[in-house]
Amino acid sequence: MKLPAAKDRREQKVQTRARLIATAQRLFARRGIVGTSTADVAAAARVAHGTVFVHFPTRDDLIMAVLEEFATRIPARVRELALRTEPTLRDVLEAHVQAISEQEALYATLVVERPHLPRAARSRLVILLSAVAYIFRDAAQREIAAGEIRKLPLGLMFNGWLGLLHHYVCNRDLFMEGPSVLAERGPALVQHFLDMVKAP
Amino acid sequence: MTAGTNIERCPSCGAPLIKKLGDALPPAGMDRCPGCYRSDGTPKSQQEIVAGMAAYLADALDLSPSVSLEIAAERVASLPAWRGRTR
Repeated sequence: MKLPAAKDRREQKVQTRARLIATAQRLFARRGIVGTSTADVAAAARVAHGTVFVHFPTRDDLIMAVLEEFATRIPARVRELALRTEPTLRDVLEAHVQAISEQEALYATLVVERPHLPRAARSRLVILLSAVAYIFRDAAQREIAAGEIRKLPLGLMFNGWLGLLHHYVCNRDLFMEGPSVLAERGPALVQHFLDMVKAP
Repeated sequence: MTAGTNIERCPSCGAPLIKKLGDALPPAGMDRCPGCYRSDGTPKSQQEIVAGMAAYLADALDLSPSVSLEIAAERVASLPAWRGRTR
């Protein structure tokens, strides 16, 4: 049997790593991060348990790899979905809802389990929020200047939006009929928030 | 990775380097975004980058100053320009 070329081995290694991250994302979303072991990830990805540690020396490294992919993607999707050069606050909120709804269960897990995650993971989640906040405040500042929304402290305004969004996402079993609470309630949450901050 | 979301980041402060933020694109010959340079054109130190990010985090998310500083220091230390260095 012909041995695979070094390039093939490298590609296979990249593919295995990507498969482990995707598998871990799926299991974290379904069972939670705290409730998922590296053995669970290996079994679901159909690789030997030791293979996980070839790619991720510790469980925390696997968690960070999953989080890094997720935390990079969410703000990038918000930018991508908001489309315009100078999006309105409504554009940003709708884009944020859409970006989270694409991985709603994993997002809920990360928010609910954040206090129990490794310190680096907790910090990375804050950086994710700050990246979305950057886009949010950019739009909010323009609308405050135009007199369209109330002049509120931007940090509190963003936290107010997160409070609403996270409550529905993290307790989605209370609100949804189908597979995604944001698909059902997202438009109403956006409208409610805009009504709250609208200038009198 | 979702198509179109692979945005380059400043290796020093992590800011997205995208055309929308036109003034955040590094000018030719510079290896960081303009926010990472002082007014005299010299690159900011790691401490200055951390202080700037901490101030932003405190304002944008209403975090306490000590938590902001801790998270900013951790984040900056993980970025390519500073990884493995001590302040």
